[in-house]
Amino acid sequence: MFEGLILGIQTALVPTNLLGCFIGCLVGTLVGILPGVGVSGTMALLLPLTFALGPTGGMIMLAGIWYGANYGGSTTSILVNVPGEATSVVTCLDGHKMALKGRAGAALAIAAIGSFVAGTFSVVGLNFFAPPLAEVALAFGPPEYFSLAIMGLVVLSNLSGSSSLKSFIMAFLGVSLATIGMDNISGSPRFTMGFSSLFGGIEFVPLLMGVFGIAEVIRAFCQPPKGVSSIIRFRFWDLYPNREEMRRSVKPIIRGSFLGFFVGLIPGPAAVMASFASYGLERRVANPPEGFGNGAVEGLAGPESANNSACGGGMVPLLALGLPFSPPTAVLISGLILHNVTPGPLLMTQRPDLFWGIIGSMYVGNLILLIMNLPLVGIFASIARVRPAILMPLVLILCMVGAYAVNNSFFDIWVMVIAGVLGFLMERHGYEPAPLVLGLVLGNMMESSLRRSMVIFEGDWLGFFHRPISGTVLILTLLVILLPPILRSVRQSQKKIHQGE
Amino acid sequence: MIRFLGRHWITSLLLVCAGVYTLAALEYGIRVRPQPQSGFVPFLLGVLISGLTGFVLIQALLRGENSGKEEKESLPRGKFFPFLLLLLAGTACFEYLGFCFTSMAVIFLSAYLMGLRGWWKALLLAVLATLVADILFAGLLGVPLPGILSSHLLGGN
Repeated sequence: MFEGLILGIQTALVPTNLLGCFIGCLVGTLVGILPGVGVSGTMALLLPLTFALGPTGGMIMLAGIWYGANYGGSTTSILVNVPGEATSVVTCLDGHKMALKGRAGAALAIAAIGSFVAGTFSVVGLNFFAPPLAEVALAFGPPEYFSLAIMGLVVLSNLSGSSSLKSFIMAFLGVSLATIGMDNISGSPRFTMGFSSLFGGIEFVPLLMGVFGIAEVIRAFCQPPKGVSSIIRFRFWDLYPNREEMRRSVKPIIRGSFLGFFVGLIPGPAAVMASFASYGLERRVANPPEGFGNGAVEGLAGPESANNSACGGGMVPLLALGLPFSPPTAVLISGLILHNVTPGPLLMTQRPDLFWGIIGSMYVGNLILLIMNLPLVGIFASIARVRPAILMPLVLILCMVGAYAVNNSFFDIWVMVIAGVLGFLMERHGYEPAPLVLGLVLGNMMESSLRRSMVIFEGDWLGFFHRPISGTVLILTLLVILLPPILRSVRQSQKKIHQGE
Repeated sequence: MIRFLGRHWITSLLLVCAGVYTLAALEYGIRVRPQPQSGFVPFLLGVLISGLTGFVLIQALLRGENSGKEEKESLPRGKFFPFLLLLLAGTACFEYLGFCFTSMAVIFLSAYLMGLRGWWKALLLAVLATLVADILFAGLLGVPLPGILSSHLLGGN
């Protein structure tokens, strides 16, 4: 394992990869700062750039954008009270209050230090969890993969959006979009409607750019994001938290790091959940909790650590199993596929440079982010003032060129535009795009696993439950589906009984 | 009923599409043994999506959703339609008129529509962004964009 880690750090320090890591961290920080610019959309937007950096450098860059966004998000939350990312919403509660009390520098420093510690902790966790899991996964067959993919989709659908039913519909819609094109097993075309461009199936990248990029631009057109009016000023030498603040933030950082990593393993918007869960935990642990919402250091340090740690946790299923459980990891897997790299448990043995390179780059990236974010925080904060009227047209044209660049195909631009418009309209009706994207990315694997499993089980559906891993995973999935409505109805009936009394 | 379906037009559209998809899947064969045919998984998916969308519609009908919220949100207002037009025209122009012209026109118009004060600012943004995108994508990444400037400026192909 340590040899792998050394290889990873060596790979990450190769100039091209280091450049990729730096670009990723920088772009990620900017994405985190700018409200209305999403992480997954930006990652999809920059997928064509990975061709110049190669698969390892490209993946390092994309991963950098993901974890870099969590660093950047805290800056505007603290200084402007505008969260750049959903993960930083909680940071506004106490971070901005600290800034209003004249402790802006200290708040930024605690957020950066917490993010660094948690980021490093999660990479250590990733280092310990991913390789053994990848070795175990070598024994997995089609039924296990199918069950895991189903669980990922179901849990994500349950956690994202306001309606689980609508999220399920989106997930299945994504899988059905993946069935368009050449059938992987029989080799015959399906649902192509006579379009030769559809023979290869619907490309992930234009669809991702559409639902995350174009939809974002349309949203900004219809309802421009809140502009940044004033930024709290501070001096560079104010960036030192005092001894009391440091003492109070140590335990929340440790708790947030642990909590974030394990929440990160759960499919869905893990970073957001981790930050909220950490805030709740800190409130519960605090004695007394009165200071929360009024500039409590604990309320800033815990969630900021947790959302960064969740990124490392989210990388475990991606690197070990080749299964993406969140939109950013779906983009990462699309990038791997784009470079003809097969994701999955064999990645560690077939492409150790890539596998360990991504892990190694996260150590390096966390250091880059810490060095970059503390001295340049003032500049980054002022970037939040860039108006959507300047930013969104650029995003729009980059989406168009990016979609074209993948296959040099105009058809892909149309796919992107249609996906963007439909994605925007569907989101207005409560249909979240994240399960759709994940369904599309996992679709081919799910279909071939299901069909192969049916051959193994000779058409018997119960065969899935005869194998320990797939059976357990499917039972857990059923519990995830059935428990919430059962608990809800029990609670309602209890309420009625109480009201009757 | 028509008003109800109009309010839930996305769900209704999904139901129709799922129905068509399910019927189309039948064409590819849905037998499971000896091995699943090409239409097996799409058929399952079609049935699932139809069932779920139908359930969502029935749920909404039973709840009697007559709140103005859904109605108000059924179609976006404001700049949506001008932007949609710009998007479709831009995509069509990209193919037939090339990258440079389209990029400049799309950036200029979208910046203007989004309220960038001063037409010259929008024009400057359009020219600079097009030039940078041209150099980055066509010049550095080698993307064969149609109708590019850098081939003339830098003397490439």
